[in-house]
Amino acid sequence: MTDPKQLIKDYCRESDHGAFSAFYRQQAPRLWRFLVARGCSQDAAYDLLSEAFARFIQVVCKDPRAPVALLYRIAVNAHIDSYRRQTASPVRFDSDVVDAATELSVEASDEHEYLRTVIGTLDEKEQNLLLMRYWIGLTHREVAEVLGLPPGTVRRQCAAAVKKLRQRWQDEQ
Amino acid sequence: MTTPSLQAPSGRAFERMIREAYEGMPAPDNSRILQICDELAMHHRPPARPVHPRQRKTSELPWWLVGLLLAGAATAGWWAGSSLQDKAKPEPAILGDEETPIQQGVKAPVAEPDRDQEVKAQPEPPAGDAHLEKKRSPVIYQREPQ
Repeated sequence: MTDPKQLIKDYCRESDHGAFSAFYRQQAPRLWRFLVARGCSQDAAYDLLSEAFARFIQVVCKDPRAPVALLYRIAVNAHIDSYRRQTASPVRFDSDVVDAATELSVEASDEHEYLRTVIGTLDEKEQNLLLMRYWIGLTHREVAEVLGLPPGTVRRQCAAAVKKLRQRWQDEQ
Repeated sequence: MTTPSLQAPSGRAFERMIREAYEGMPAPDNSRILQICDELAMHHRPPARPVHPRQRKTSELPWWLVGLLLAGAATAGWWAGSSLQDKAKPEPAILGDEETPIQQGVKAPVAEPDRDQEVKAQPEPPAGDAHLEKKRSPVIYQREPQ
């Protein structure tokens, strides 16, 4: 898999649309699943995906050092904005959407489904931390950029979230 | 949903399980993903790449800057030319004890006799003296006497 940073560097330097397409094909399916996991409906996830990439194109060449973190920051903000437009309530994890999606998955095991449900009981911030750090694979520094927190705080909060997850896992049983 | 009868995994195992759990979610419709990519390519262009100042061509210099440079060069040439001309002029000789022209001018000028006054002082010839009159008048052409 080509390094996403290199792809974006090529896109910004040479206006290489092929490099951008490769970056998009690499990131878009995972970003869509991230949005669905964060409580978006599937159709809304396509819309947010399009909106996030459109904003991403406008700003990425100003600072192309951490493109994946930038993309997720834009997507998370777009997600929060869309929820604010719909309701005045804060973003909540919609486990029904994930459950429905899970039913479609042939590969999904009970263990994975159970884990997603337990993660859904954590705070909004903890869910974002765990998904971006352990699923998307962002570094602590990149997650810190996305959430606007110091890297040390992100490291501590990640450890605390995993600890809490273990506790919930045992409690549920 | 059945709760798996598992012991709580370790922190590392949780990290791996989180990745596997979400990677196992249903994938998006590939055609819709590609359609969005095409729309982005059509409607959103990357920002123009800024050109480094050293890579600029001379022809792209603004006209007023070119004019300013030319005017500056012309002024410098004119100034250099005039200063060279001044240097080429001979230095005035250093006058020791000799009198300068100004000092000479201070002295009372010696009145020279005016030739016009001398002419006026001569007595007028009596009228009717044609011979003298002819003699005084300038002779332009005189026929040889036959």
